[in-house]
Amino acid sequence: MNVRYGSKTYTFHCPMTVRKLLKKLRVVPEGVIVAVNGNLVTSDHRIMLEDDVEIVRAISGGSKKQPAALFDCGTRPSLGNLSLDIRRDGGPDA
Amino acid sequence: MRCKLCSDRAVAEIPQHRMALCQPCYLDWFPSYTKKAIRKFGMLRRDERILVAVSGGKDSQALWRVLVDLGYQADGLVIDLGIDDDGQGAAPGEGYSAKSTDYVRQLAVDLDRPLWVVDLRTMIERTVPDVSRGSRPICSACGVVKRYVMNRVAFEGGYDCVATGHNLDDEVAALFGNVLSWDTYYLSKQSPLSVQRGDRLMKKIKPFCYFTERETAMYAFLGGIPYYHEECPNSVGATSILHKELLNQLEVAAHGSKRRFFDGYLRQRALFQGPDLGDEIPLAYCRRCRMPSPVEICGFCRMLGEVPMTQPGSLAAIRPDGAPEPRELSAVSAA
Repeated sequence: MNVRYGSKTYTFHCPMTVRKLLKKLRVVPEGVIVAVNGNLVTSDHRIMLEDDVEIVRAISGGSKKQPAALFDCGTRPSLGNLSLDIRRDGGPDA
Repeated sequence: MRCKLCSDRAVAEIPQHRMALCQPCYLDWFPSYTKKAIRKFGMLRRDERILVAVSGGKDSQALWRVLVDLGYQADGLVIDLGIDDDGQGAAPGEGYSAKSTDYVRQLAVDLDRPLWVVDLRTMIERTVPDVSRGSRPICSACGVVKRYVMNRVAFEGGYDCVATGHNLDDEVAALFGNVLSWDTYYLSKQSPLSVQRGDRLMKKIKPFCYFTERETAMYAFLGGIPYYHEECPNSVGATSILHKELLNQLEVAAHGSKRRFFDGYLRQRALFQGPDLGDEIPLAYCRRCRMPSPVEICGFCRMLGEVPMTQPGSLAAIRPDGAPEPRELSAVSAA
């Protein structure tokens, strides 16, 4: 799935809920809305691989730089000072 | 997740109210909750003429739509501040301010309501970056300019009040900042309703004061309201954003925290009002522009220095069709 957030696009290779996606990206849910294939969804919505996801920042008055990344289930990429805990939904601890 | 009202599939979560709604129910709930806030704070009478300060962002665009849908006589005001995409002075029709203004024009057409367009370059022959240079930080200068223009257009344009799209996040971020510095003057003043003072410091209302930014964003999205997603280039790194992010983390951990903080403040605001704390400053009229001012020359005119100010009555040139009958600026009565 492709996820657009600000000026960056992220790619994930495993289905997951919106809640999980935001957690992976370390995005506070209260500060954004999430659209899947152009439709607003709730945090329990399950995103499939073919879905197109957009995270829209709701906080107005400023912006922050976002890192670009390609995500793969089961890997733990390190992007500069951004370390993400990524594992397959329901899978064993990495 | 199911809609709390009709059990259909929910699309909009509202954690502070511990509920989720489907699209039709959310689009019904949002204006009705706005109406509740208007009633709770006694913001408006049905016959009042409202000037909605619209920036092109989600909050003010949504506010204008909601007020019109609720049946109020709400006209728009947009100020082209002359800011380009890098935060510097822009040429006419270019940059951040021009793009934001285009979204407001589009909404005005959709709503079929009068829109006042104030171009700062025409009004004072300067942009906001020009004005701020050498005088004060740009966001501070921008605030002075916007408050002045909103109030002046509302007065001269014949309106009863100014409505702004400030939301709960704006209110609690400002409150948090004022508490951090224990600024008792501002702590005595913050309110969803500022009553009119004298004949020309107009009433100001914030009908979205109980909506989080996320809730207004959802309404704009679901309601198909056009808005400019980019933020002002000069606001990057603003302290208020840090405060909003901190408060959002608190909100996720304890839903309703922002609302409790705000409501608690409103109940206790009198603590900050008194002889030595938040006394209202007596108002006179600015000697140059004749708008309200606590001192001889108002902050706006002081900031402009020797730049010639638009003369009284000159707003007639930008008066949109359908706007109320104008007031005469030169006639001064006791404040």
